[in-house]
Amino acid sequence: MSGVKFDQAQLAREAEAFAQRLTRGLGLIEQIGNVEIGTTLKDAIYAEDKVVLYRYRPFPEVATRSRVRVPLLICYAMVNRPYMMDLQPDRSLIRGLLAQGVDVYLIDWGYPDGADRFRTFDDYVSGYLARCVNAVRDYAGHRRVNLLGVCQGGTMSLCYAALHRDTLLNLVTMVTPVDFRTPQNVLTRWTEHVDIDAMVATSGNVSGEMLNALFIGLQPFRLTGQKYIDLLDRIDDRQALENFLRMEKWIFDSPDQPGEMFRQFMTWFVKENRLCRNTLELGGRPVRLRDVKLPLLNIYASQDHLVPPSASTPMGSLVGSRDYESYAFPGGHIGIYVSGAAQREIPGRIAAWLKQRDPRKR
Amino acid sequence: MPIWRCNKRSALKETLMSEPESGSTHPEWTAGWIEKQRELLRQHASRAGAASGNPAADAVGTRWRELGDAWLEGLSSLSRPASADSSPDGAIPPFKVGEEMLQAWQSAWTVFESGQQGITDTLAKFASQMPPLGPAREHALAWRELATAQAECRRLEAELRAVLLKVQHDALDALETRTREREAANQPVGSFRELYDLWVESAEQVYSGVAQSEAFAELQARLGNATVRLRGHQQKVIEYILRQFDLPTRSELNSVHLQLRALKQQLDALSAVPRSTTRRKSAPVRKSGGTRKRSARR
Repeated sequence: MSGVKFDQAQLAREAEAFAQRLTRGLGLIEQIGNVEIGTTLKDAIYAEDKVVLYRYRPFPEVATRSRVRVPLLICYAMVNRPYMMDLQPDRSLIRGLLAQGVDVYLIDWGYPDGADRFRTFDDYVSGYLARCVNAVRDYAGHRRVNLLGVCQGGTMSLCYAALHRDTLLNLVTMVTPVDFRTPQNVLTRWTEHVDIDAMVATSGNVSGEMLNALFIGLQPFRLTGQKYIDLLDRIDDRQALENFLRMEKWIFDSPDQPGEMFRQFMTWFVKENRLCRNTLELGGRPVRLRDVKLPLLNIYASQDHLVPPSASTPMGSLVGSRDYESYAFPGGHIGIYVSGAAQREIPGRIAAWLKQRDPRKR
Repeated sequence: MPIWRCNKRSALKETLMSEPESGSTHPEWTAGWIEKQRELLRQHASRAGAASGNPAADAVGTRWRELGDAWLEGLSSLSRPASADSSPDGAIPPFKVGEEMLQAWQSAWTVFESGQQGITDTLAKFASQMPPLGPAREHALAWRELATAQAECRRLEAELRAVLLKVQHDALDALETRTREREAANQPVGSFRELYDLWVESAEQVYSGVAQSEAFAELQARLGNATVRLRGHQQKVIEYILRQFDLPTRSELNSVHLQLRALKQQLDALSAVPRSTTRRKSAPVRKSGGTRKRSARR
């Protein structure tokens, strides 16, 4: 006999409560209008094709002596939009860093279209990223800058650091994969038998919507149903609804991936694991992680289902840095940016690590 | 969610109704009450939840309406009176409801599938029998390849759907196990919401096992590759038609983009001057913002 026992009157009460919550929710949805995203003040200081480099305005209330002198450039992944770094005032890694006196710059890759389909991985690493680094160096007047790579942007940053050693002072990586072939990596397993060459040859750029479907496919029951039902539990909290909508916008605001760049990333990094195996070449030059000799802070999330810890932690033994530090944040791939614990923990940790290595402090 | 629908004679329901809790002897009244909530919600939803001007909000509203109707239908189904065809000893396996639903779903797909598959197979067969000869040879070949690719896609889609149906089926078994465990621990499932959450947990657990298997990865990849081939053949046929009207094709655009990229690389190479010789003289190209004075390099 089943372990399910329902009281009829309770069923009716549950139905009524549910219908009321849903009705209130639909009413709120109507009133809520557009939610604001990425509100921290910033200025575009460099632009090239679809790429825009921003500098965030420093917080004047931070005392000069408390600031990190060397600027920090954030290189976000191309898979989603970088405003995840500044989703809303109380969930913003960037605001947290500014409050700690860090001079923050951010690369926005834009929305690649058909004109970008033949851009290579190296066009982004030694092209756009390199020119953004130079733009920050010139703008801030520093010979070397700090670089923070996020997810795929972290992988790009590692490649950049291996190839352009003289332009960086410190490197921070967040939820960054280096070993794409660990048993926990479901996405890698799924792409193992996919003919990426044929896919890109046929589709050109790879649709962001298709990638979203792939990510949802990792937890389809939770992500297509349960999370919306859960939201109804907090329907009286307008702020919670707005937070949800901001996140929802970010999740489904997925740029298409430049075809050739995607093909190279999937083939060289994901399928052949060249970065980890030291067999990667970009623009005819070998990319060796042992050439990454600058101080490196690697932050990963212990419950990350997209970049499992096992994909990130080998970094320590692969890079040539003598000053390597890692930190396991107790959360997931998204929680590491937006959770309350992340707001309290991550910006302070990054800023403190950078301050210890800031030239003035030495 | 669909598993709670289409269950006119569910065994779960019978299980529930065969052991009514005290005070729960008015199933018809309950069903009527729930139906009233559904009706009120429908009325309200037709007025409220209109376009808010925020696509993310509208999408959530739509999702809520879909889920809400399914949710209340699920509650309603649990409250309806037991059917007359309960087994004599009343020992009906619980959660048969999902099984019935799955069978219904599978049948629906099979009917749809057999119709589609029939047409596709006929086309493929017809195309394969056409001799690709004469002036129309290339066209005949293109259409034959297209039909074959389409048939392959449909076959693999059906295969994947069968795997996903099995996931749903196994998820219900897992749900049953969990509810029994809860009962044994004297913590029976007490609400539809709890049941739903437990079902999601069970389904994700079952799905995770399948998703990590080599067979699933291979099947997904085969379907993906077949879809790519189909798309390629579709493009070939469409581009032929576009050329007849002197309209641009993706292949032409690709040629242009490739040429542009090569030209840009040449331009970059020509304009690349060692940075060390120019650093103090020239600023990077700025298209916007930035008039700030640069401090001396440190």
